[in-house]
Amino acid sequence: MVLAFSVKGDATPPLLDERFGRCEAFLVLDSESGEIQSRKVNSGADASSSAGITAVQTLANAGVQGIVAPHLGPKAEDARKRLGLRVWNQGTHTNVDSALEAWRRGELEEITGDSKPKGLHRA
Amino acid sequence: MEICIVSGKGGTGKTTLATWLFAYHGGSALLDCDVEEPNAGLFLDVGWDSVESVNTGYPIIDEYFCANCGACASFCAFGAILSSPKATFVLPEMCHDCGGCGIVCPHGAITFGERKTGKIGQGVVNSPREHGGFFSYGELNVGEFSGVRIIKKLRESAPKDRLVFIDGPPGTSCSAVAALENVDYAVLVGEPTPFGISDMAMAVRMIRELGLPFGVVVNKAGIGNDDILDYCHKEGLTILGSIPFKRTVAESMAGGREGWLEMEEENLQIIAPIAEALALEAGLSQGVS
Amino acid sequence: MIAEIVVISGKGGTGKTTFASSMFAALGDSVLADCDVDAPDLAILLDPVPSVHEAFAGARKAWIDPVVCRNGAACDGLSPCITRCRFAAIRSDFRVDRHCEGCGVCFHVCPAGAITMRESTTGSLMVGSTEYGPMVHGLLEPGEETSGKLVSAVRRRARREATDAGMRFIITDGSPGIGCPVISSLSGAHHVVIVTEPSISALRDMERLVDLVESFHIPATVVINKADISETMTVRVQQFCRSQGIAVGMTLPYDEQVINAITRRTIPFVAYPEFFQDNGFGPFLANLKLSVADYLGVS
Repeated sequence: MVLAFSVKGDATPPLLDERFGRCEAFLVLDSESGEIQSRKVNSGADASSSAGITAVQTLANAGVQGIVAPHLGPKAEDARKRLGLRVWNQGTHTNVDSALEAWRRGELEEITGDSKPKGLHRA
Repeated sequence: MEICIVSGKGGTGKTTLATWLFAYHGGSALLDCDVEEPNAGLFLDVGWDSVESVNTGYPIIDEYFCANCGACASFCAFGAILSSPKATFVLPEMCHDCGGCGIVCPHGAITFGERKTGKIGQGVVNSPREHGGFFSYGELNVGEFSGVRIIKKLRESAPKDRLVFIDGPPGTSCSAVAALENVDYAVLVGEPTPFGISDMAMAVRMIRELGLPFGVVVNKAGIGNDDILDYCHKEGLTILGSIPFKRTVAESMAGGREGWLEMEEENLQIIAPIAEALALEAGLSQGVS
Repeated sequence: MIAEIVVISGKGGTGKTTFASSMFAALGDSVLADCDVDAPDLAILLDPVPSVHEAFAGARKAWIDPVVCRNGAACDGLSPCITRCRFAAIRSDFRVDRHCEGCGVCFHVCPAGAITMRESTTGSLMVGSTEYGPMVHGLLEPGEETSGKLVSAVRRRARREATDAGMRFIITDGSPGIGCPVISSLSGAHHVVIVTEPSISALRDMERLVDLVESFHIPATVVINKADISETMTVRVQQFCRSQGIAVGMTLPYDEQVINAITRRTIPFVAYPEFFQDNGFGPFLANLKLSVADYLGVS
């Protein structure tokens, strides 16, 4: 499967970003071989709203079939579902290698339902 | 003749001045073009003739013909269409209604529908002063990205047979430009504070780029200092007059229509010399580009 | 995690910028982002020492090459660019004017390939250092449309500065209104402070603003400024907040000394701290920090 990760910085192994839509870059790789197909700088991070939607489209254009990501906002979640991309939550993993290993072992939670907004907090 | 009131900085007294000038000139017209936050109507008693929705177009994708080729999504400069080999769908609120997706689709899968982006209301003004004038306002729906379309419609439906005042939006964005374009004269409301002067300078630039004759009204005169007068003199700006800062004025405008009516005579006395100066300047400038 | 607090107002002139500057000076450990890109005023009070000044290319605009187009000769005068443009942005002399929204239709329909889409500079982005911490601000060219993108760019840069400097907070001064630049300042924010005043206009504007804020599901607190201008309206504002379940975090009377501070280009909190302290600024900031920590799920 063509899998994408939200990454930041230039460490090896690449560090996972805590954000999806406004992350620094996306790493696209082949899940079986682990071979990196591309690292795309996230130009959509400057979108005025819902950068997550732009991110989803960028990944769809790159032929991505699955995403390992932090929390997706409701709009991005809706977009990826409609475009037919699968998504797994990266949990507490901090770099691509450990997250990929966990994904291969089926340890990551796949997000299938609707994303629940946090609701209006009363300060 | 059309006179547009703008301010650069918000909260300087643009709507206050626009409604007072409108009240002073019985039978004239007032267009509230601050479509994100239209407030002029709060100070008037209007007999409404109509409230109509303002629509904008958006693409509808016919799944029968759509091959998920992605041509429309690639073309769309505004991120309003998303596409993958499995599905293609539209985000209507992002659409700028340019029509391009319909042109590039190779399968004839796109038609266009209409959706509401805001509304326009218009009517006859009963008070203050048994005015008898025309009032219209535009209101942008929350979440929409631009009020320019609504402002253009407001201006198109303005009466052509009388003096028209336009209450413009704050700032210098494309909305302010849409309210100002092609008017006969602009009035720039400034306040004598460092923020007021800084924002005024940006508005001056915008008005000059549009090639419009304009004059300045200094509101809340007395707070701050005289730097604003120095600025106006340095730039060779016409000062139409000033409105002194008075807590009573602020308090009366805080209350809306009731507050206005309580202070009506006093307010009109303050505005009279400014209105006369404006009539002189705008009249003189008529026909000059 | 870095927490971003966005200060907005709906109606202009309520004291949003004044309040944001005071929050920045009092809170510490923060980066200031001036996202009121039509009218960025914080630099007047903060007097930043500039380190970066970048052109901001916010938009694509169509450009018609006069040599290829030859005033419509290249398309035998059919000018599909003019007929197809929905924004009336192409003049009869085939020059593209300020109404161009960069859609690309003219580029697509020109049979002679005379049109290209070019990045256009619509504003600038600046980074500087101030006495209270780093500051990022953006300035949009008058008449431009792309304020939302510039706001995003300013916020993104502020986040980078905060990360580099190890700051915990970003204070974002947003635009008035409810349009694109405001939407752009709310996306991803952790707390919203709405600065309002007791007038019918401000209340009306706040009602619309609260609709927008609620759609983002971000916790909000209201500050009522110049409260003694109208007791009646202050009560109405408080009632409205109660009905929406939004706390009023602070109520400040109108005070000439605040204006005097601004006129002297000083941050009101710095010039006149007693005014803020006497009106509950300490508890307000403490509650803000608690709320943000709670929202982020950290202790």
